[in-house]
Amino acid sequence: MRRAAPVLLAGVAVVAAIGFFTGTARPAELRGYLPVADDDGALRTAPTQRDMEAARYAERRAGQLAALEGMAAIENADAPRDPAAYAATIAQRQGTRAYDGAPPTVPHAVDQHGAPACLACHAEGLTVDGRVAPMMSHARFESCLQCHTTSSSGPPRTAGLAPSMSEVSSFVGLRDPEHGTRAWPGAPPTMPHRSFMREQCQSCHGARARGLLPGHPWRESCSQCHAPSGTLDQQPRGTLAPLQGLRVEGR
Amino acid sequence: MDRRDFLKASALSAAAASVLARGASADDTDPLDPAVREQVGSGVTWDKAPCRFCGTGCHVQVGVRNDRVVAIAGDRQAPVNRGLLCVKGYHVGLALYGGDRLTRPMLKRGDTHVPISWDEALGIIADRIEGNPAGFAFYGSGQWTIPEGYAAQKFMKGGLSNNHIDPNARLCMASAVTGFISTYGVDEPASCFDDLEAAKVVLIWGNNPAEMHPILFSRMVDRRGRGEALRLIDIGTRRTRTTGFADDYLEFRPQSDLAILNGILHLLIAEDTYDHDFVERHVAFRREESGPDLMGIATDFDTFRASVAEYTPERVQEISGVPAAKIRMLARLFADREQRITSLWCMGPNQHTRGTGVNRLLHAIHLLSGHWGRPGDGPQSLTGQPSACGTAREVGTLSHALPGGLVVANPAHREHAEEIWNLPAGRVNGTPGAHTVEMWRRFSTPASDGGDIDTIWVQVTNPAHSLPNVDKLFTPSRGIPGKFLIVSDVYPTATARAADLILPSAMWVEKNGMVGNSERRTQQWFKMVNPPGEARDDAWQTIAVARKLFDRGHQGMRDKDANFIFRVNDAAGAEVPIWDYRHYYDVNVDEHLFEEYRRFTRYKHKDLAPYAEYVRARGLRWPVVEQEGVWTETRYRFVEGEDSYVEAGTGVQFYHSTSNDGRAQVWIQPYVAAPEEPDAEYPFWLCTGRVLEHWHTGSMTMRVPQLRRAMPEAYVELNATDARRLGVENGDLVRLETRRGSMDIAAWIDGRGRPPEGSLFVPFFDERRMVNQLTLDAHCPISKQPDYKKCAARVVCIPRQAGSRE
Repeated sequence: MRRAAPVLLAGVAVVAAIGFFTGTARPAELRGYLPVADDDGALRTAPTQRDMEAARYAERRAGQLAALEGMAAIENADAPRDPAAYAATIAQRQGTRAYDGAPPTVPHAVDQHGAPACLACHAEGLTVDGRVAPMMSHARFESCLQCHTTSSSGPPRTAGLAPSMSEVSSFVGLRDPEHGTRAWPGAPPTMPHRSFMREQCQSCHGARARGLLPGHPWRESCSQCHAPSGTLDQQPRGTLAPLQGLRVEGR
Repeated sequence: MDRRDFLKASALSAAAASVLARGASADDTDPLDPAVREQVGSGVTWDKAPCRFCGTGCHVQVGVRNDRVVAIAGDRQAPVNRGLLCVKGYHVGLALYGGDRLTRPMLKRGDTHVPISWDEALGIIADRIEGNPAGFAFYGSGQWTIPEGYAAQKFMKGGLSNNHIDPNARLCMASAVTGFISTYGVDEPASCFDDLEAAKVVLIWGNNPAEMHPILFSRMVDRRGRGEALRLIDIGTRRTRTTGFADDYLEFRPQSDLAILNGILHLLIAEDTYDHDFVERHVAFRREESGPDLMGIATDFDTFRASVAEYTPERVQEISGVPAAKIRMLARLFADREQRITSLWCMGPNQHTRGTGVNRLLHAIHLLSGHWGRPGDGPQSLTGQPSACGTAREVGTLSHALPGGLVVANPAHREHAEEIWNLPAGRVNGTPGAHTVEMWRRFSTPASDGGDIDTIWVQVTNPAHSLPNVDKLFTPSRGIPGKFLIVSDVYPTATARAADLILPSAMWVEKNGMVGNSERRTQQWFKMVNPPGEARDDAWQTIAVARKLFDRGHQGMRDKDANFIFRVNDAAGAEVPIWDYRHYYDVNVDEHLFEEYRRFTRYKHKDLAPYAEYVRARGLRWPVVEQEGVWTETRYRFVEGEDSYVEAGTGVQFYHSTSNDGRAQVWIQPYVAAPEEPDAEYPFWLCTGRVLEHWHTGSMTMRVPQLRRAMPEAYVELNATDARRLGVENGDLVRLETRRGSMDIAAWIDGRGRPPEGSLFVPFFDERRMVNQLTLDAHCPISKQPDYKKCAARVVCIPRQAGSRE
């Protein structure tokens, strides 16, 4: 072992020397791209790998953004609630849900095969080029595509393949509730929908949301004032007897 | 009374019945909750129901307003799904509202179907039965509710003394049944879904739960989000969504699962890592006597050891393509007593020409290694239909079976059935009837060539689409004079369109129902909305035909006391005319049928609780045994402390052992080649199956816009290398050919699944792409379940035309 070490060191030095001289001997012009003659004989510079990636990415990005037409972010989070924006948001929500509470369909293409990378954008929510990727309204689950489907990617469609059955559905889903109830004018409204799977209020009512922004976007703890519904949240009914009122003697 | 009066009357009686039946649980709204006042003010009421689709048995909450389903929510009190659903479950309510619901009975005249009255329809069925009693068959389903299946079972075996009744479940889990019966002496999984949280390792055998049992899959993988370690090992023939979550992927050549399992058994013995104690106390060895048979004969450990000796890791690698190191890895997992290993399987091992064998071996690896009976440690077979277990297996709507795990061939069992049904001795026929493939083969064969079945009544299934090799088993019948097909369904499926008589059915929450999932969990729901038009309950249809025969003097429709076999009395003891649909919901017919059926369930320790217990619960796992006044379910069968039928001190006791010594059987089950394998002429393996969005033949889910848009059309998955070699691009139409038929279909490369080179996959949901014109009707000789998962095919390129693709 003691004798092997100098031999090894000598070997390394020789290899390094060869590498050094080979490297410096290379002509500098080989580092760039060689001009290529096209059909017309003119010489053009071939695109770099980076250019090609950027071009492919821009195309894909434009397609994805077009698919997210309805997801435009609000311009100004401080503006008072705009009835037109509210109506547009409700319409957009209903376009991707069969009924209030249905998991929304995904408005863009997804990888059909592997575990999806949904959390990259939807864990915290994201605004890209004026389009919103909403924050998940619920806790983390692993198999996103179990509940959320998409019609933007999928199997190839055969042109001219006629449906073999009625494609009409007479289902009319429960609409989004418009507002909760107030105990008196000025009281904070109750949550008009279930809060199970909608724990993250910001997903729909937060600064990246459009149309459903609360009048007080700076408040963080929503359920401090807005009561959820035990029944809509399917809280189990207890078997406890109702509380006894105060008994006053002699009444 | 005109139709409107009639509908109003039935709506009123239904509402009254459901309110009465609900009793104490009717008060499920909180009057103090303003949000509820809002919802209730808009007329929405919520009630529980199990999902209509697969065998997982999730519960949903159904929101109903103005006699229509308007919303669905996951049921948070349901132990199976805890508030979560899959995309089919979230849209299950939409399945009722396709634009082409069947609403009137219709008779085929020439090329069209003309509406007739219900009374005419019932008369026609009675005529067919009276005309040729032995030529009548009933083809049902694992989607039959328990009372529906029970009514059909009693009608056929108790009323007509005719055993030609079989369910489509024959096509999906018959091999699981024979696997359980020949291993434990009694059917159905001993373990339960609680294993999914307790397991450290889950082996997934030829199964894709990410798409087929999404809730069970999420129960496993969501553990990772909570920081728990779970090792998922996918053992399959193509890469699927499940593979994307798996730690290991072992890709095997189709059919060689037999070899892999034998390889594990061999190593457990060769390395002496099997569980000596468990084997000594709880295991006996068995082999088939001369050919494939269900019960076989006893053998010994040395014979067993010799039988698996040839399956060395290297030999298994040669047969299966799975590296020998991976076989060793599996065997060493089983060798480790500290592991908690759950095996999951469904159609891969079941739809197999050695289906019984693969099922036996799956039990064997757990039994030999002692990975059996602890939470998270055992074999768990899954089912694909909501009541494949509850109805097909437990009610026993199979050609050889009677309710509660009894069989027609056993005189004591027949006597027991006749006693419960109050029938004269000898009424139940002791000869098993025609199983599914046999039934349809005889229906598609002229009487002159031995095709003695001339009438089949189909309920809740779509055989023209789902039978294997349909152009042999189904299509010919439509051209043979004298063959008469009756179909009860909700939509004009391929089968309904080909029927001579169509009966419109009520579905899901348009009727009362009970089903049983794949962990022995029996579930119940009430009717919530009225069916459209003249659509009526399947159980009513069966009872009404029985009554028609009774009125015509048919002796079989009378019990020993000359009473109608489906007699139901009201509280005062007077007979309720339930055969008249206006009175069907005067009483809860489901409850009456269930309470009678329940008497069968104690014979084989499959005890069910009274109906009212299921009204309260989100399902209960049998045996449900009354202990100190409380009906208690069973999580783990045959395990002391869990199963009350196990004797104290035994630890584990297989109390239905076929060797009569409390032991389970470990079978010798060698590898054999598939009956049709790829060759020079047909060089590809062809596999069929399901996708996440669609359920079975798509007759419901293809009518749900959200599901159809996500998965609008069937396709063939092709490996990218094969595609390049064939010159096929993504979306190109190709022609698939087998020895049985051919079909044009679009190719999807690197799509939802990725088959290896030389393999194809086609989902079967699309009735415009009937892959069952290509599949093989070869079946397991013991279970009679066909193999939809492998046959030989070839791909022929169709020259691309301008505009042939979108």
